[in-house]
Amino acid sequence: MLTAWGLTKAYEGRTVVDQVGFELQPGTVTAFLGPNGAGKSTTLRMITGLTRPDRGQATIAGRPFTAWPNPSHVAGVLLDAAAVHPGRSGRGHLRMAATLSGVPGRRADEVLEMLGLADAATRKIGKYSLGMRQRLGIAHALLTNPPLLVLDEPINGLDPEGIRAVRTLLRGHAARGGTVLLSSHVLSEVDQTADRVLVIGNGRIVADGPLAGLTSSSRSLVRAKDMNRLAEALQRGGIAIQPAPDGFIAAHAPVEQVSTVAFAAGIPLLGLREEQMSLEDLFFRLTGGGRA
Amino acid sequence: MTLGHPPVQQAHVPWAVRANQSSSFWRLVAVEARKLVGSRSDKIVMASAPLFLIGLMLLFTLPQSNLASAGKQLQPMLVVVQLGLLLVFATVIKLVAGEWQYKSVQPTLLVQPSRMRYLLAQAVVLAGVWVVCTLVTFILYPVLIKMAANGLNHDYLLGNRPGWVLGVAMLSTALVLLTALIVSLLIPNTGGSLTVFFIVVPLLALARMLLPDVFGLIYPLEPAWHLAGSGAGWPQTISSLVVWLTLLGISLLVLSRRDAG
Repeated sequence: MLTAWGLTKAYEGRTVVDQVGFELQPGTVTAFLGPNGAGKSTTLRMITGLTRPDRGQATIAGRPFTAWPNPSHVAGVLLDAAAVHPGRSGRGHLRMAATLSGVPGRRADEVLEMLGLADAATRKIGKYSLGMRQRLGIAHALLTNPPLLVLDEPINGLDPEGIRAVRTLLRGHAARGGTVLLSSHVLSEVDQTADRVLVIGNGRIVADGPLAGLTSSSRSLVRAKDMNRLAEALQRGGIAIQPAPDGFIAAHAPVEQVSTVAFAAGIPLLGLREEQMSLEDLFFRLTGGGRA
Repeated sequence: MTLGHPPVQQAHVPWAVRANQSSSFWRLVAVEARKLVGSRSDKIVMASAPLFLIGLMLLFTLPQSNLASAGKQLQPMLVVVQLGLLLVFATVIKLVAGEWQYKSVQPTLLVQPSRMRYLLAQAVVLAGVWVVCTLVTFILYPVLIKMAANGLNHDYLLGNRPGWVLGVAMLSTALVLLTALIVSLLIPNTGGSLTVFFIVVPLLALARMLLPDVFGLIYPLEPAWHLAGSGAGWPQTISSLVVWLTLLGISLLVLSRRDAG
């Protein structure tokens, strides 16, 4: 659905996006993760034609976004929730977009209702909270019911209820065969939504795959009622251990090996799971500690 | 390396059919026209504009003490166009500069990415504003200046020169609108654009009155003054045209390269 090849952009001699390439398949939600300044937004702007790449290209369903005569029907895009005129109403803003896209004006009311903004439809956007602006931006992206959604930090500023609603909405879009690309700098915002994660650091794609695969480590976190016996058993089994948060022991072995050792020692376990790295740890590992 | 585009996938599916149908240019014009009165303050300003214009016309026509020549009867119109239409020009500046200041141009460019098409749509809206302003001036001004001339026992001399009056009204309004457009394209900030337009342009008008040979070279309305028979001379008219057309070219170049992100 979306293919990017070697997207590269430099500002004043500094390369902010370097040879970024990926391909998104229909029916998937892909998270584009990276710290602030890693090149996420620049990449999304190049995909949507707002910024001209120095090299490389991105196509949506075979054509660059700007080569489609009416691209809003190909991709719904939210790049900056603040990019709206504060003096206009939410409904007025969406009705203008509906006119421009060639969809009926009533569709504006439908998406406002869908995003929980019906009550604020006639209010000036300047009076909207950040979360409401985000929802308005998502409503704008959904206006034409396009197959691809490109959303830059869509969950930023939303309350827990809003986050859950947006997650459900995005998963639903993918379940109906749509494609979603959403960026974030916070792993927890996307870990329940994305099928796949693209990690960008210092302008380059540094990891690409399922989230669980990227954040898994070679360590297990284990907890038992008798932690001293557990520690002794693990060490006897040749497994190095370290204290871990929340009363766990971090064991340098896969969960199967830890389970076998504990079972053989007759120690009932209260918890055992593979250690997941935080996004910060992941970035640190993938980018060698360099932060953009 | 040039990458060839693979054939468009799923060309038969409904979204692809809709995406292949270009949005009408007139829809874009309609949206830009709606933006002109898109906020409450825009509506108030536009509703007040006719009253302001008529007030300024009364102010600059009725107190005249010498309307003995056709030129003297026409000159106040140039001042009226520049000052009386300020509210309209303010709305135009808010439309053009405000879109970039608030980045509200971004959603528009994501729906239709051609910047020149977008600017052309705004230009069509401006052309509509120009026609309306010109007609209002052309209809009202002669009535008021005739009253003023009659009050001074002077003959009304514009009645048999409607083409000239219309030409000056058209040119002067177009030049002020063009100035507003250039300023708002070069300064993508409503406050900054309005400040420059409302301070620099009137200051230029004042400076041109004091030193027409010098400031006529850069005064945007010099060609209109020339057409009204009160120009500083051909060099000033030509220079003014060159300066402002160059600025228009630069502003279009800036627009085509400006980051909309």
